[in-house]
Amino acid sequence: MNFITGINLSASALDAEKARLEIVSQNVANAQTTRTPEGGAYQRQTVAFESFLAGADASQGVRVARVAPDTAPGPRVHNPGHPDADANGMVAMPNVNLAFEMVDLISASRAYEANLAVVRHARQMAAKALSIGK
Amino acid sequence: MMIPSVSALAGMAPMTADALQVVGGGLPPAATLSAREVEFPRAAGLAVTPSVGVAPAATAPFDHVLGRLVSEVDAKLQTAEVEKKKVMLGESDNLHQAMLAVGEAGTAFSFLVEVRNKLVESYQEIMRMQV
Repeated sequence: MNFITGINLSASALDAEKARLEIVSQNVANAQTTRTPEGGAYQRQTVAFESFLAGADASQGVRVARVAPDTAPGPRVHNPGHPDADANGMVAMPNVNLAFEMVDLISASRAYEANLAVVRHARQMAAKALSIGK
Repeated sequence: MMIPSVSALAGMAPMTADALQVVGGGLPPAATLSAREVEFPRAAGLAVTPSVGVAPAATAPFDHVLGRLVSEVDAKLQTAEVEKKKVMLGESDNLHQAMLAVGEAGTAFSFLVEVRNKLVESYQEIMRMQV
C-alpha cells in the first residue's frame, strides 16, 4: 500500500533512467577503446526499455528489457604505429559518437528529473490531503 | 457530531488502492475507461453503484484500525532503514530508492499522527459531554 500515488512506477522509471545513464557513461568512457575481451573495437551499447505490470491494479512500470550492442561498424583510421593496427595499418575505432551520447545523457537526465517532479507533486498532494483533518 | 465521524474513520480503515477504487463507486478498472469516463462517470453513462468494499470494512473492530496503521508505519520505517543501510554500505547505488522509502515512511507517519489527533479530539469531545 502506498500513501504517495504511483511511487512504485516512478521508482521503476528512476531505476531505468539510471541504468541508461550508466550505459551512456560506459560508452563515453570507452570511446577510444580499440581492444575488448571479445576482440575488436568497443561496440557502443544501447538500452531498450519495456513496460511490465507493476502492481495488482494493472499499473505499468518500466524496466530495462535488454542492453544490446550497436552493430554498426566504427570508423577505420589509418594509424600504422598503433598497437592494434592490422596489416594495412588501419585501426578499427569504436562506433561511439560523442554528440549522440551527450544527447542521450541530457535526455536521460531530463527524464530522471521529470520522474522526480512527479514524485514531488504526488507527495505534496498527499500532504495536502492530510491537512483536511487539521 | 463527533461519534459518526469516529465510525466513519473505522469505515476508512482498509485504505488500499483497490479499496479506494471501490469507494470511488464500483467502476471498472481505470485502464479500460477513457479520460472523460474517469472524470465524469455519471455524465458518461456509467452505472455508479454504491461501493462494495465499505460494508465489510465497517464491521472491523475499531481498535484494530489503529493497530494496523501503526504496524504499517513500522513496516515502512523498516523498509526505509534497510534501503538506507544498503546505500550507505555501498551494496546499492540507487539513492532514489532510499529517499522514496524515507518519503513514504514520513507520509505514513504524518497520516498516523493525524488519525491520532482526530481520535484524541473525539475522546475529549465525548468527555466534555454533560452526564
